[in-house]
Amino acid sequence: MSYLNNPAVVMDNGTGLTKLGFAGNDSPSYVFPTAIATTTGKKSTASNNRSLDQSMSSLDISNNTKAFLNSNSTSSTNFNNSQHSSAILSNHLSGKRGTEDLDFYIGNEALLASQSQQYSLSYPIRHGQVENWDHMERFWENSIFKYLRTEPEDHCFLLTEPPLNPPENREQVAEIFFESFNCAGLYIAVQAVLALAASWSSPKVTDRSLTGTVIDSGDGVTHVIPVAEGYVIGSAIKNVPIAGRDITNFIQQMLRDRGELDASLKTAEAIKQEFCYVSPDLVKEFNKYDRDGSKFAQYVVENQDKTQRKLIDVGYERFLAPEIFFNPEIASSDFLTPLPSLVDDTIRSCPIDVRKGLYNNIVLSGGSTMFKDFGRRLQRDVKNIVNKRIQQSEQVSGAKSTGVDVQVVSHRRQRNAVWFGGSLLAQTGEFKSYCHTKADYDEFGPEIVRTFSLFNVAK
Amino acid sequence: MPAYHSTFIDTFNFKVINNIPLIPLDTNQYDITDEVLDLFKANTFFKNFEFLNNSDRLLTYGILYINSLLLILNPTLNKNDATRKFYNYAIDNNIVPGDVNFKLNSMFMIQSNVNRSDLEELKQYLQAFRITLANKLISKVYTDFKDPMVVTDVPNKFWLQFSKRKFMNKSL
Repeated sequence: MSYLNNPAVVMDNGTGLTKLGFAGNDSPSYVFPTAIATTTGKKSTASNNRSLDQSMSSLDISNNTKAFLNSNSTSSTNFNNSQHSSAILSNHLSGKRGTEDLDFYIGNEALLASQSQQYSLSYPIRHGQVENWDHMERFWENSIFKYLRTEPEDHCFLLTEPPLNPPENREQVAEIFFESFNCAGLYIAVQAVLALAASWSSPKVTDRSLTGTVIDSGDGVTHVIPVAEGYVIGSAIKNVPIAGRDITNFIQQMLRDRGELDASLKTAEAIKQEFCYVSPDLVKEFNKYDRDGSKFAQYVVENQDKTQRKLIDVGYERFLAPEIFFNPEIASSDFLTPLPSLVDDTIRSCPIDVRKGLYNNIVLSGGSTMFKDFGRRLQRDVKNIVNKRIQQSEQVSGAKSTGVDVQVVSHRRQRNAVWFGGSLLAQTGEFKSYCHTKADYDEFGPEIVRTFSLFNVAK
Repeated sequence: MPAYHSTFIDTFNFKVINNIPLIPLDTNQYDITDEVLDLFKANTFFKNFEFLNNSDRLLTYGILYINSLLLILNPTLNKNDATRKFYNYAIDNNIVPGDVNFKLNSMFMIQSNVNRSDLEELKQYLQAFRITLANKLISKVYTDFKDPMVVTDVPNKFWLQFSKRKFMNKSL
């Protein structure tokens, strides 16, 4: 029963990035693209393999340095060369031994491997849901054995799923985890609920409730998900087709308009992460820039050998790019609803008795909510919408309203909020009693994972 | 927060010709041309704009006019040449809302029954309006973006970039 003492493994497989780590930690040990490169069956020359091997080892080095910089990493991505060459060696013999199903890479290695003709890249998760179960199983296999390097028999696993995930998918996950991996215990949690749990780390949160509105913005889409007492209100979920990628594209367009020396997506992405913030008022912000030149920034692009440097001036895109959440019409012509009014719409389509709780606890999650003052602006705008409506209804009815308290919670763990929420819940003593165990699975079959009891979190 | 509107609302009883209010141009204080220059950068990003009152029409005319001025500029044009080109452009193209050649008549909702002397007055007003705008724009565009006090001889690229954008997807 060693799994009772070992920390649980927390895995958050998103459409874009996978976060892996152990419960109780501050941040995931690994964050890499949810991508897998599988062999296409084409034989390649030895020289091709060697160059791939070299580029792999250079990747390891860069990963290592990153891991040192990032104090939160529990271990670094160090796969030594011998391991690689043996993997590639076996590839040559694959025809005889029938081991081609072991010849694949995941994560950043997959991106690199796919540059050669020999491998083809695929993303097993689409729109949050698993599309290719065979690839996903192999992805998990590598995640557990090659990255986390643990024995599944010794650990409970906490996995995440998007809201409205069909129960059949859960059963499929259970089959893989219990039958292929023989894991000790399994718990599948809804991402939005974990994001709510992650917000407990904020000093603003006084009562640890699982009622709130989660705004989850990654690279592709932004979701607004209302959660009442741990249950997602599925009928009220709304999506915005504006997220990180659109912000990057907008910055790139601005750089091109100005004819900057480098307007690649990579540069735009870096500028987004380093310089962007949310402003309270566009005109005032423009005036600030025009009065005071110090608001303009400069970004340095170096080529690979660091022999050439290009200076990119960064200007209005610093506050204009994140503004597309609040004024979508500046970037898109077909979607015009600002995020604050969408949040208001979402909450108003929920049952009336939970609305106050939903307004009171609007929680941010995902990388695209990390802009400075994003939460503050959202809170102000939602508050304005709500107050205006209260004023109108007071005028019509003549009765005095008690008012609605709008509060947006932002916290330091926002980027990997879902994973952090999972880590938080899975480290509690009672977590293991909420997991379905291998014994349960053997006795009742995969349908036991259709239900999971919620954590008793009210206290 | 939609696009920004003019603050020079009609309560001041300006004379209105062809839905364009003749808001006095005052060199000593904040006037409509200053407002146009202030709101230009923010508003060019918007594709929808509702005229709340007539001063919004003048604001729109001014913003679209600045856009056409920026299209005259290029990264190497020096200040003197730009000043001359701007001035000629302001004088030569005296097409005002209500003229047959004015492209946006339907958007401005022009009445056709305006008498000749009023139209002449509007032309004169808008000419002055355009010259003022052009001069103010020159003094803003030919500065260093890092230090607005420093005058340069090439246009500031942080102004030039706005020639690529069109307010409401329209142009004069």
